[in-house]
Amino acid sequence: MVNDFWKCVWRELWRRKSRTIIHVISYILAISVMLVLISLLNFSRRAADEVLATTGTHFIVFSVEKQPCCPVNMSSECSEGFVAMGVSSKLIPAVYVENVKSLPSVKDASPFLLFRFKDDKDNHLFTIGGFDPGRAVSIGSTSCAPNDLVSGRFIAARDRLVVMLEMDYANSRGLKTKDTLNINGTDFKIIGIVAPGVRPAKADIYMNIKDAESVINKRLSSPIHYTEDINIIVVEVKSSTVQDEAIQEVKKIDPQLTVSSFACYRPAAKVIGINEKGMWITILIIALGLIVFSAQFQFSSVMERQHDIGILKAIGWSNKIVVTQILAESILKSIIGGILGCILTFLIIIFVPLKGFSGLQTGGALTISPLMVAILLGLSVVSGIIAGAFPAIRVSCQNPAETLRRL
Amino acid sequence: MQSNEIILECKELKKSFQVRKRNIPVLNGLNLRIKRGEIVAISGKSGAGKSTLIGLLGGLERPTSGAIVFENKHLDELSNEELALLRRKKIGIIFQNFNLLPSWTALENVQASLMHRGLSEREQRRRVEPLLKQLGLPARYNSLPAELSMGEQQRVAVARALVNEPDLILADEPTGDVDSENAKDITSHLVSAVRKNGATMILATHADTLLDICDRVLNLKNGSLS
Repeated sequence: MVNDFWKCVWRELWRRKSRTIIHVISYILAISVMLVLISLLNFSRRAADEVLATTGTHFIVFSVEKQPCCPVNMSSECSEGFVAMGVSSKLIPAVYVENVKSLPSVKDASPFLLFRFKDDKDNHLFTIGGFDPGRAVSIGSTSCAPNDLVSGRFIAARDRLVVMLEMDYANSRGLKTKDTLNINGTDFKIIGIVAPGVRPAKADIYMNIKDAESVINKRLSSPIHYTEDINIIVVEVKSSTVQDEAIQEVKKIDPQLTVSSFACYRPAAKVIGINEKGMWITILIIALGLIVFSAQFQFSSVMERQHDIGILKAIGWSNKIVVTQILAESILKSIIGGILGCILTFLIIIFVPLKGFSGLQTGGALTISPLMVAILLGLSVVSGIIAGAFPAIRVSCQNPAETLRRL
Repeated sequence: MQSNEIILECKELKKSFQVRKRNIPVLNGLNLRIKRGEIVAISGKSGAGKSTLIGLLGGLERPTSGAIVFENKHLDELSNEELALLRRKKIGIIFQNFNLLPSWTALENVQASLMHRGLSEREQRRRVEPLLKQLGLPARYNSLPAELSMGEQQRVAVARALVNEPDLILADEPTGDVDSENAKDITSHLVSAVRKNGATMILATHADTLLDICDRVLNLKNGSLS
């Protein structure tokens, strides 16, 4: 019985070769295009994630001092003090660093001291940024990184009594590497010149946080210890897409905290979102198109055979047999088309330099997700079922005598 | 071989068609009793309702009223699936215009009646090939109907109706479109097969040559038999 069934299915598909081939090709093209688009989408998403993982993924946390000046117990003039983003800032508990670091969206957080000094000799203002050189992840994106070096070398974790100067500051003061700089009575060797560009925790002079602590304490009547108090937390989040989530979580730790980010991730994330949505809409249109085309194609194919089906019903083929055969023909075409579509996609991905056409240098290799292959094969079969169901129902309602009389 | 067992009975059978909101009666309270093994001819003018009666007896159409009892089964009480099963196993129909599947070969057309009955391809061929040979089509198994003459097409249609060895054969003008020589040959094969299998046959015809070989001739006029 099963043999008869498949024999008839194959026979019908073979007899209507052109129709079968066109129908199978439509499945191949639709499945292949969808799979290629999804592969490109995944590739583009990976590439975007790589970019977004380092773009706009940082911010600083501080607490604004609302008093006009003298934020801490200062022994010097009011123009000196802890600052952040150009405004006076309060000290915050250093324990917040670990609180922030433990947030699921945060990749790294580290303490930072940013203090504005007034030079005793010529009264010029400059800022000192003290950081832990061992916390390169969060420092690199918010303050300065080794690849910002213009000359010399970057501060290492064990370096003491050495500084790096911001390039514009060094030029304005005529300083260069290997010079010695006296800050508040302590001599520091200049080991590097950096040009970090626009950063939220940018300083004129960078040094180890321990050195910064001792230099700053000379200006304070009540000394601080960076393991207890700091004025800035520099934060690196896991991806731009979770930047907002991280900011909200940080504010929950202490509502008084101010978060400053350049929000440059927003347009990038939005543009990526639009592209992704467009891609999904295209895939959806192709999927619907495939279902509609298949249904229409199968319907007209079966309607052409109304007379034949009427004869078969007249000689004793039941509705169940006829309906199952029509459905099987449709499903078989969809399976063949789906499998060939997947094979074509593999060949396209191997032989066509799609990655090169995309212009993206990141994102790794273009791959096909086995899950997507399974889903699209499923979609192909569902299209086959839908395409076969309408003509099958129509044919099952036909009276054989009526069909034979009419056609 | 005739017996006294009634294989088929029609009681007050009525059939009418709706054509453009007009009710056109075709059969008007027809009564009929056929014994097992009997060969009965239904004669009548064109449009008298012979084909409609054949369609009703084969379960292809439903009566407007009345009953058809075949082997103690009321056809009007059977579902479409049950009627299809009945046709597949018990009834062979020869249509007026052959109704062969145009894209199927002669062999496949006959095999169609044996399909979905759990028979192997070999068994199906074992039944079909001798029958086609017997009916004079030994070298035309793989020809399409369009490649066959009218007489050959009719032989294929006859083979398709006989291959199941049905209890009841319904033949609607089985020699209507063939020449007299072919008609005689086909009729002789048909009758000998019916007699050999102990089947019952109802022929709808207006050919006098066929009337001679029948046990009984009934005339269909004004929707009832006389």
